[in-house]
Amino acid sequence: MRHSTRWLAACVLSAAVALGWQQPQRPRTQPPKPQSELERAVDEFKVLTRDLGLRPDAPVKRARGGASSPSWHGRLFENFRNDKLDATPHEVVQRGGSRNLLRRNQFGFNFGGPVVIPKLYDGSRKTFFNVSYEGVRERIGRSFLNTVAIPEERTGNFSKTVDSAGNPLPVYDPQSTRPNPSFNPASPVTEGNLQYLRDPFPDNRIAANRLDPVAVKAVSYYPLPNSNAGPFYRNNYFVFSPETNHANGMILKLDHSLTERQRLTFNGSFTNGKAVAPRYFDTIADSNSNDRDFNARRAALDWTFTKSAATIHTLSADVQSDRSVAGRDGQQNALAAIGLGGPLRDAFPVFRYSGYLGMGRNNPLSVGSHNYFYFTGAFSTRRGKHRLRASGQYRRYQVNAYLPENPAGAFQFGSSITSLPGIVNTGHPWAGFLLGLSESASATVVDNPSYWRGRYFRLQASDSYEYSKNLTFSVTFATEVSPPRVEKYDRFASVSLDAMNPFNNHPGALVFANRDGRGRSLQPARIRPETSFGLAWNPRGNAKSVVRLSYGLSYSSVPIYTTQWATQGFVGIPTVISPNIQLQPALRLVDGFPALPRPLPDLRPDAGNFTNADLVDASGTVPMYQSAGLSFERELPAQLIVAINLGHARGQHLFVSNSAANPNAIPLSNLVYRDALNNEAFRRTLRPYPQYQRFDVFSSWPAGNYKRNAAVFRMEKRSSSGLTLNATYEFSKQMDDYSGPYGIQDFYHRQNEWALTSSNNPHRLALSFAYELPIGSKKALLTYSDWRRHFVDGWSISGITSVSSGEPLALRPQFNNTGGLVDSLRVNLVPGVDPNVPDQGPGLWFNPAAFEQPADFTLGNGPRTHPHILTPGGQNHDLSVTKRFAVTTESVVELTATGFNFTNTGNWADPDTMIGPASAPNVNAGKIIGSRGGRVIQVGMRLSF
Amino acid sequence: MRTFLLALLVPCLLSAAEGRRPLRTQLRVAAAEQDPPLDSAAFKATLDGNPTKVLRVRGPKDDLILLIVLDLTGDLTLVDAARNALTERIAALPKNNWVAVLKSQDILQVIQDPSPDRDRVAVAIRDYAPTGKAGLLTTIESAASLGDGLLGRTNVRVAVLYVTDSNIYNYREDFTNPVINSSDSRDLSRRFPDQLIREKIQKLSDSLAASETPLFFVHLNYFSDPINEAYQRGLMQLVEESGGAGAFCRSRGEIPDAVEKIVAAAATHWSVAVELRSVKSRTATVDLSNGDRDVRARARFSLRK
Repeated sequence: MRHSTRWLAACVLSAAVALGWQQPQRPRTQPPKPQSELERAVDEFKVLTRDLGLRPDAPVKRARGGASSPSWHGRLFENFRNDKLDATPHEVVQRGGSRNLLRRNQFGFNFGGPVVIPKLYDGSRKTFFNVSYEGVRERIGRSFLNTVAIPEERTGNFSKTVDSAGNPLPVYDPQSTRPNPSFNPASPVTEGNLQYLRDPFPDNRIAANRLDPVAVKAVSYYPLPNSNAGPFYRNNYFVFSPETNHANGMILKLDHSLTERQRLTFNGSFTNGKAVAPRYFDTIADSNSNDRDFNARRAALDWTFTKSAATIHTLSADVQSDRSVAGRDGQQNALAAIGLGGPLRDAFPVFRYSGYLGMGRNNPLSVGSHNYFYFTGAFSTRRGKHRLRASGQYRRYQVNAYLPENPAGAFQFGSSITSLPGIVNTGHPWAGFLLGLSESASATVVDNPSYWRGRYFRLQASDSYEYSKNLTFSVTFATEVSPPRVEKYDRFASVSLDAMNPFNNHPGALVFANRDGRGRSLQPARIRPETSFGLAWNPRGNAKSVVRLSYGLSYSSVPIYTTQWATQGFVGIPTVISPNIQLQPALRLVDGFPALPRPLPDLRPDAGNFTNADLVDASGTVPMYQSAGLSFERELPAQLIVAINLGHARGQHLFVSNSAANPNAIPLSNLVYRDALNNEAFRRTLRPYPQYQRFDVFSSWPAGNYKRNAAVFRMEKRSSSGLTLNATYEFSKQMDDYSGPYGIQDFYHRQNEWALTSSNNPHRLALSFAYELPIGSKKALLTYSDWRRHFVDGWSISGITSVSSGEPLALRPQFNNTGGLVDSLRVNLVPGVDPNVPDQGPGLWFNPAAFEQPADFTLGNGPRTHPHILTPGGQNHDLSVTKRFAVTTESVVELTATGFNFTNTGNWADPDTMIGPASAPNVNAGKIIGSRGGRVIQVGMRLSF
Repeated sequence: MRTFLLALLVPCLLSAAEGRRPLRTQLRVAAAEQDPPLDSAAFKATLDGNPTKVLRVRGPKDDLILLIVLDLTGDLTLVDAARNALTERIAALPKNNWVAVLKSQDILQVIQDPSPDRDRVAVAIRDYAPTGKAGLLTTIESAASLGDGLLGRTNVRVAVLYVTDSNIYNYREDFTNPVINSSDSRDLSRRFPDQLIREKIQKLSDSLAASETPLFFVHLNYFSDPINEAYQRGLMQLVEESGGAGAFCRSRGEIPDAVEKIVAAAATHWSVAVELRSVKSRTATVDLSNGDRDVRARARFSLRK
């Protein structure tokens, strides 16, 4: 059998050979080719990367030092401030104080790394977290300098009261008012041609039985003077009051790789705390800010899908929420305590008297909360020389507000009722208050919070086109569609300037959302096309130089403010106006606030008549911004970078507030009626919408314009010795027709208001440096190898210096005798008098003789903001010194001492800009009272591991 | 004369280190700075003024493993420009320069083992997905550690080249010290916002002190805000301390030149090992010369490891 098998195999092999098949030769054993060093390196690379866990199939190595994955790491820190380390602030020293109050601890931690739960989950390669906590415990002194009634004035004795020139100020008895039989109506009212006669109080004292009982009780809650900064009893109340702030916050980040190409990221945060405001005076009548409890939360989830190396999709959802409750305890029974009656909610009422510190707060209780929802999808891809991006976003806002303004009433007291009618610099607001004679009063009655809702859709497409290696263009088109905001329960109202008012058949009546055929909103939907263009160019192919050119056109959306504005009718705004503030009060305190004429909700078209009625712009106009920029950046030898930017920006239809927009303003040509304008009934006939006192446009009237030109020079230098320097200088000029502390003079001719922006700061210089001191190991000096190295290693200092010129002065006349036509009267320029002074200093910053009080019933011809005279500039120098200690190879302790304003430089306060009449000039005009600022030291410690 | 103060931090480890291998330090010399070119046989070194042995010299003509770490998460235009420039420059490298590709998102991971095959490397670079979190700061120690391992076990030069568009706001860790309590109006602790990143850089600098691998980077997108400037200064500090080099691109047009310059610097660097056996104290001064010229060199040195 065995032989037959061998024979058969030999036959088959012979046949195969005969057919041409060749028997394969047995491979000869050859010595292996020597592995090259590079091949050996590759083998080592594979071993090393496996050992280090750098290969997808390798086990993760989590130890520090050569580990492939980031291990857990974090830091603990504490920052500490105490007034014992600080210089006493200049403003405190100037008031005779010897120290400030400051206790502040800021502490927290940060911790992060891979998510690993033993035996449950190992996210070393794909799931990571980072959590930060920070707490603040602070108590800080605040100082204020105000003017309050002197002791004599509290009892009605005005014998010591003087005007701003130091002359006795007469106070007249309103009960003695009578027509002047010899008045010549053809001539202006002057002291020689009085329309009404009025007798001064004997000895300038108001008899005790004339004092209003409500006012007398309120005075008991008002502070006495405690300072004499002056002059003439002014600046006589210096407050040094603590403010406390407790806050806790946390940020949590998680990100997780679902697959190689899909990633989820979560960001969450919350903060809460309580801020206790300082007190002007510690009674229920205090007028400073409320205490505030607040909290805020945020959660954002992002999903990123990398479809390919050139195409990326992202989806994200972002939810934010915050809530703030502001108020102060002790307001219960405040009305009863002073005996003020009326349909008012319990809180201390607001009493305002120009020149003196007021009583009461506008919003004794307010609650605001916001919820924001963002959903965004984006797509990005590369096609040839084009990089294309497209994105869409849906935003939803929820703003809930309970913000009753002056629920206990706001009462304004002026000098007119105790003046010699028509004659400025007579009478006194405090006298009017003591007599209980209010010029005007208003309140709000709020039964329900407002629940505002808004939505936005935005689509955007952009292309970045690479024309050549050295020239790239980019263009973006976007469209934002914003349906009008609504109120959840349709408690949305506004004056419509087209609707007829049944009271007088004039245009202008209150209308309500979702009623009378109107939609749920009173504003139109807005569609805003936006675009931008840019290019980046390396001139002559020089990669070290870049020229950039850009242009952008954009619109802003209408913000949903935290307010109950535009809910009139659902909210009552009872308003009482004096028929003639020189002759009759709006009300007497002792009589209380009048009852509401109609119960709420009052949804009749005339419900807002004779009030400052809420007016929402229904035109759909939104602010438009345009900007153009040209920049040149050059990298020079020795690691020096210089850049120059030139920019131009302008805005139109910016939202402005009541101080810069009044659609119901009386045209200024009516100033010719002079003293007749004091008559409210006559004045009403001159208004475009006579049934309304004025309109409250909140901060949403699209009437502002601005223009800005700026040149910025920036330099960055890094030296090999461990010193880095940055310097930025900006020269700019910004003009507008709305800004300023006092508002505008002429609402109908905005071109007359065109002036420097009140915050225009033409010169700004910022310098910063960081320097690793050249001492210690690996440095040039003090390279100790013994124990001394612990003291010399790891020192660094950094500093920030900022210097800026001042802002334009806004001058104002002391008296505004325009019959209520002009909200913000400007000063007159005196021809031929130079407003500048030699040796400009705190004694005299500008020449007040260059300006004058306009004559009665005339406009000021000076600018809204002065084009040349600026407030004193400011400078600040901060320095930080840091010492690092290496505890272990992984742990470091850093000690930091930071001096804010470490040079203890005092910056001058602004000069007194009030210009009095020639007969009683303001003796302080042009002078600077005091300076502010002081060195603050913060000591910090941080342990990083 | 260019001198280098080398801090020998833990002398008690001297004997242990000596037991493993000759105590030495690796000096990196940038070839691009040398004109005329250096002579590999002409290196001489002194240690605290006394001649010391040059153990090994490897120059531009010697084998190189170039570890390219991609740390790209942003603008596709810049990423594409970097991809193209890298592919082009790698193709022009000498054949004894092998290239590996790694990525740094999340953790450092190998995409392509070292290879002479330029096409495979190009594909790896092209297919790389530019998303996620920036990873340079969190992976640079691992990359240096990998380079050190190769340097210690083989006789090739090794260089690590990061191609990055990272900005400090795209890191998982909060180097930016973000505001947590928005109501804290008197928080001055963030007045110097670069402190955290400077601390991180110093920590890395200390940690990398023992590394002998030169580090290089090309940053595709320069940012001008203060905290990113501090970050970018820190990157430059780290690579310069390692004997490497870095480049920032302020526009897309700069990317090809920057890639060319830095790849060339990585490919042509000299690595000179000098014996430190006679070090007696914690600090030492090493001078390097080539022929009759002093040579500017960089070294990190620590005996902690």
